[in-house]
Amino acid sequence: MTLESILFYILSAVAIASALLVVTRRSPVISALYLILNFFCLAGLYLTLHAQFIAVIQIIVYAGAIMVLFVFVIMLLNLGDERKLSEGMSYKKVIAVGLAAALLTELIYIIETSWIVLPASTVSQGTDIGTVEYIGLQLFTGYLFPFEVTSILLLVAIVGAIVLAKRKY
Amino acid sequence: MGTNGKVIRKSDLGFWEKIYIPEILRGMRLTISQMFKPKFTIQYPEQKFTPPASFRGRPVLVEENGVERCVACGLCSRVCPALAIEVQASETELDKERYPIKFEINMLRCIFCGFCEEVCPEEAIVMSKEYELVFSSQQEAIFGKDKLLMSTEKLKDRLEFLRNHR
Amino acid sequence: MDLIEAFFKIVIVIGALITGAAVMVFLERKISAYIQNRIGPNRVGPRGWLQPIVDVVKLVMKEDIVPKSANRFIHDLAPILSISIALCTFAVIPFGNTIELFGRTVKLMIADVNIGMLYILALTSVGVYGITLAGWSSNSKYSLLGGLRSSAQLISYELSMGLSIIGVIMVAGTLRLDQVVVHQTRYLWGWLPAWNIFLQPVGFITFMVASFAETNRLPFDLPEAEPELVGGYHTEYSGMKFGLFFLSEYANMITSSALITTLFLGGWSIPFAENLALSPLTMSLLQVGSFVVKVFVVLMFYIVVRWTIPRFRYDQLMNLGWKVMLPLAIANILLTGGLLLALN
Repeated sequence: MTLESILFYILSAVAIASALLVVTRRSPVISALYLILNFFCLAGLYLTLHAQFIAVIQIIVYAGAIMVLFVFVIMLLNLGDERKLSEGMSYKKVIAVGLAAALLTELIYIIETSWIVLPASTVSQGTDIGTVEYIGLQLFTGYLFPFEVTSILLLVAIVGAIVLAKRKY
Repeated sequence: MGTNGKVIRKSDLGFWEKIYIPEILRGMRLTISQMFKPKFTIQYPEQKFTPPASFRGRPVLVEENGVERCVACGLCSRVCPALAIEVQASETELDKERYPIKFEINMLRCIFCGFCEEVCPEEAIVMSKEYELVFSSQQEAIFGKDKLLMSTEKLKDRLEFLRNHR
Repeated sequence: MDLIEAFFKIVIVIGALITGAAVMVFLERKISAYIQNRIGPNRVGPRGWLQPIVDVVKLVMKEDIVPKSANRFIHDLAPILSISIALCTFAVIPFGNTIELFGRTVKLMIADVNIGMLYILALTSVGVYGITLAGWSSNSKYSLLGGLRSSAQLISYELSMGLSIIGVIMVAGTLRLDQVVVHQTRYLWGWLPAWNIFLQPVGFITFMVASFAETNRLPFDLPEAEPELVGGYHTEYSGMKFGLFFLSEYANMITSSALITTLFLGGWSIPFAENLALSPLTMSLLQVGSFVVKVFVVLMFYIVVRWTIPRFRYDQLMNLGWKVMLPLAIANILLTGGLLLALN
C-alpha cells in the first residue's frame, strides 16, 4: 500500500466519522466544529489527488470564511441545545431514511456495474492538473462562459442580500 | 474644544488630516522623541522619595518639650470619616489641664484625608512625610501614643507649611 | 537526508520564533516604558534581560483554572489551535536564499510550496478559530464578546489582506514566496531596488493595516480591549494556557512582520551587495541577517504604533475595513492590472 492510499483511507474515515458527528451532536457549535474538521479532511483528500489549489481554496473559503460566519452567527444568537427539534418529525425521518437508502443503492449500483466508466487518463495526466496556472488557464479559455455566468450569479445574490437587508424604504 | 475655545468638528479636518497617515507619523515622531527624554523612575528600595511639605503621610502627634500638644478635645476622632481615631482624656498638672491618656489611630482604617489635622485647634495632630507602613498583624496596625509621637524638629516643614497656607 | 534537513530547519525556526516572541514581550515592555518616561523591568538579570524567562516560569507554575460552566475540551483546544497556527504560518516564509553547508545546497525555507501565498491566507483565515472558540467555550460574556468581535474583525480585514496580496502576485507573476523575493532583487532605473513597497505603495498600506487587524494589535485590539472587556477572549484563561495565547499573539506579530518583509521590503535581499564580491557563505549569512534586521524594524514599528495610536471604536473599525481599505485594495488591483497591460 502506498503512502497516498494510506492517507486516503485515514482521511476518508475521519471525514465520514466527522460528517456523522455533525448530524448527531446536539450543540450547534460542536456540530459546526465537526463540519470544519470534515472540510479539512476534504482538503487533505484533494491534496492526495494533487489538487493543491482546490485544497487551499477549500480551506480559505469553506473553513476560513463560511464556517467562521456560521460559528459567528451561532454564537451571536447563542443557540443552545435544540432538543425540541427531534420531536414530532417521524414521517419526515422515514422519508429521509428512505431517500438516503435509495441514494446509497444507486451509488453501489453505479460503482459495482461501472455504469459510468471514469476516464482513467485524468489521474495519469501528471501533477500539473491541480496547479493554479492550469486551473487559471482552463477557467479563462475553455470555461470562460460558465465562469462569467457564475460571477453574475454571485452578483445577483449580493444584490438580493442588500435588497432584503434594506427593506425599510 | 480647540485652544481658542472654538469647537473643532469633523468637517474642520483638512485633507491631510483626513488621510490619517501623516498624522500617525507625527504621533510616532512624538512618542519616539519621548524615548530619549530623562526618566522619572525612582529605584524604590535603594532610592527613596522625599516628599514635599504638602505631602500627607501618616498622621502623628506633635511632641513639644517632651509632652504632646494634644488636649484630648476629641474633635479629630469626631471628624474622622473612617472612624480610625480613638481618644481618652484625663487630667494633668500642666497648663493645658487635659491630656490624652490613650490616643490610638487604626492605620488600617485611616484614609490619609487630613481632616484631623485641619480640625485640630492646637495644631497637635499633623500629617507627616512617612509613607512606609508595613504590618504583619491587625494588632500591629493600631498605633498607640508610643508610635504616634513625633518631635517638632522632625515636623518643621509641615508646621511651617500649615502656618503659611492656612 | 532531506527529512533530517527539514527537521533541523523546523527546530531552528520554531526555536527562533518562540525566543523571538519572548524577547518581543520584554522589548515591548521596555519600549513602552521609555515612551512613557519610565525605565521598565530592570531587576531580573542584567538590565532586566532575564525577565521573559521569569515570566514564563511564573506562567507555567500558576494554577490552571477552568470555569465551572466552561466547555472543557474546547477550552483546552483553543490555545493549542492558536499557537500551532501561529507557528505553522512561518513554514513557507523564506528567511534566506540558499546556503552551502557540508557540501549540500540548503534552501532557507522550511516548505517550498508552489502556492505559498495561498497557504498563508488559508492559515490566517483559520487562525480566528482559536480566539473565537476561546471566547465561546469560556462561557463568560466578556469572552464571548471578545470572540465575536475578533471573528467579525478578521472576516472584514481578511478580504483587504487577500486583495492587497493579489497586487504583489500580479507584479511578481508567481505564488511562490521565494520567487517574489528574487523578483525584488532587480533594480528600477538602475538605482532603486525594486521592492514592492515602491511598486505597490497602496497595497503596502492596505496590507499593513490588515495585518495590524489580523494580529489584534492596537489600534485594532478590540477582541481584548481591556477597558471594556476585561481581557476579551482570554479573560477566563490562566496559567500556561493564557501564556500560549500571549505567545501566539507575539508569534503572529513576528510572522506577519516576516510576511511584510518578504512581500514588500525585499525579503532577504540586500541592495547592491552583489557588487561587493563576497564569498557565497558570507553572502548567505548576510542575507539571513538582512532579513532579521528588516523583520526587527517592522516589529519596532508595530510596537511604537501600539503606544502612539488610540483604539478604534467598533463602528470606525468596520467603516475603515469595508469602506476604505476594501475599495482601496480593489482600486489598487485595477491600477496594477492597467499599468501592467500598458507597460507590456
